[in-house]
Order: sequence, then structure tokens, then C-alpha cells
Amino acid sequence: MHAATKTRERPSVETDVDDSLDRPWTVTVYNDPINLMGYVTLIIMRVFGYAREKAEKMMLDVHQKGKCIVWSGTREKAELYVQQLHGYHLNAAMARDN
Amino acid sequence: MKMRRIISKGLVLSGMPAAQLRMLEQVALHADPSGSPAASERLYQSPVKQPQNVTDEELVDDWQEFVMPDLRHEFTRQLDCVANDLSQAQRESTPSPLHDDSPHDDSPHDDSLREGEDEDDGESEEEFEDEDAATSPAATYELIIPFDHIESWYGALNQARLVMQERYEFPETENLEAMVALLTSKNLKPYLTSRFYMEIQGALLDLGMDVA
Repeated sequence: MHAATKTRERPSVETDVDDSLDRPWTVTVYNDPINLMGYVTLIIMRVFGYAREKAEKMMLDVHQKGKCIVWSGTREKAELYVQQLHGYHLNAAMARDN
Repeated sequence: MKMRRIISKGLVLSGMPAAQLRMLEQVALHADPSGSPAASERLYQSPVKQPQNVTDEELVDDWQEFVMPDLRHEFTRQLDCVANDLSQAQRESTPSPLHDDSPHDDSPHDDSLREGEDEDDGESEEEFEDEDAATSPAATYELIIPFDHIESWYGALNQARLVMQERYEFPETENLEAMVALLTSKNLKPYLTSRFYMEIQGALLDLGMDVA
């Protein structure tokens, strides 16, 4: 068999693929004793453009469960949203989605 | 005290006792987180709750360098706006009969109430102002919050309440009676001040803030 036609075994290459890069980022609003419920609803509507009904449901989750993931997507947008939420004094943070 | 929405002016707080005006004048003082790391961290939050890797740590570093200065600037601007409005509060010629401590009136907007009012009345009053009368417990004030300042007012009051919550560690209960029972001589007055700020915020939310 000609060497050129000989089937070679592909060398095994170990790659460390960080699949976390593909995972979206989430923005979470946490409960706090300061922000009024109506204000939290208003700010969620304003920042994310959600309808009042959806924003109120999220606000109630924040109030009753302690936190609510209000958005997920790219890191750049998550940063922008968190900055806006902090500007309105909401207790908020971003994290890579698990 | 009564709060009304007057199209040509903004939100008008009238019949405000001197003690309440003084509490509002202390907003910037209460909003200063100096000496309370917890208050500083709450006011200027990290973008991630618990940095878990290099990416998170880089994000926090970038945040401190690029985002926090903007937030500091904005929060300072809010406090300056409030201080400026407060500096223009006018003593009313006679104590308001509506001295009932209710934060705002839920009656329909009464834009016509001040139609034709002579806005120079307050200035002429100042010429004859008696210093004792001005500081008398019975003296009341009118404060105007222009519509485009409402967001700044809400933000400034929020800053003060956030910092006071962390500094004085108010008990976390929504029951007012239980709260008062848990308060100590150290944090009772700050709590009542914070509560007053919250009532003003509620009125601002009802009368002047919108989604847009």
C-alpha cells in the first residue's frame, strides 16, 4: 500500500473547550427592604420594556421569593441592564447561566 | 402637609412644617455612606454577587473603573438637584389648615387651584419675615418639585434610605408596631426619618413618575 494512501490515525488532541462561553448571562433582581413594590415594577418596565403584567409578576417574585431572573442574553447587554438597575438603586447582579 | 400636582409648576408640597423641611434638608447627610462599608457596597454594588473566576474578577475591576464613576456622578447630581429645590422653599404667609401629616392628597388633580395666583407673594413676605416666626413650630413652607426633578428626588431619597438601612440596621419587618418595638434609642429617629422619606417617595411615585 502506498504510503500516500495509507489511512493515518488522527492524533489525539485534548482540547479544553470552555462551553461556558456559549451560556447566556442572566440578570437577577434581589429583594431589599427599601425599594417600593410599585417602583420596582416601574423600573423593570422601563429598563426591559416589559408590559406591566409581566413586570408585576417579576416584582412579586422578587418580593416573595427573594429574587427573580428578569433577563438573559449576551454579556454586553447584561452589563448595560445591570448598570441601569444600579442607577435606579435596585439590588441587582449578573451571572453566567447555569 | 399636602402634595398637589400643578401642571404649570410641578409637584407642590404645601403646609410643610419646619421640622419636615429640616428632615428633607438632611437627605444629603443621610445619603453619605462614609464610615459604613456596608452602605457603600449597597449604594455602589458589584455587578456580580460572588466572583467565581477570572472573568468575573475582570468584570468587577472594569466596573469599578468605568461604571462606578458614572454612578457617583449621577447620585451626586440627584443630591444637588434636591438641595437646589430645597433652597427655594418658601415660608407660607399663614400656617396651612391642612397640617395633618398626610403625605399627599389623592383627590383629582386640582390644576386650577393656583390659577392666577400672584407668585411674588412669597418674596414680599420675606421682607417682613420675623426670624422667630420663621423658626416657630407653627411656620409652614411650600416646596415646589418641578416635574423634571421628580426622578432626582426619588433617587436622592432612595440613596438616603439605603444608606440609613445599612448604617442603622433597621429590623426587617413590615409591621410598623413590631418595628417600633424593636427599635432602640439609637435608631428610632433615623427610622422615622427614613419612613418620612418613604412616604414622600410613595407620593412621588403616585403623582409624578411614569414608565417613559
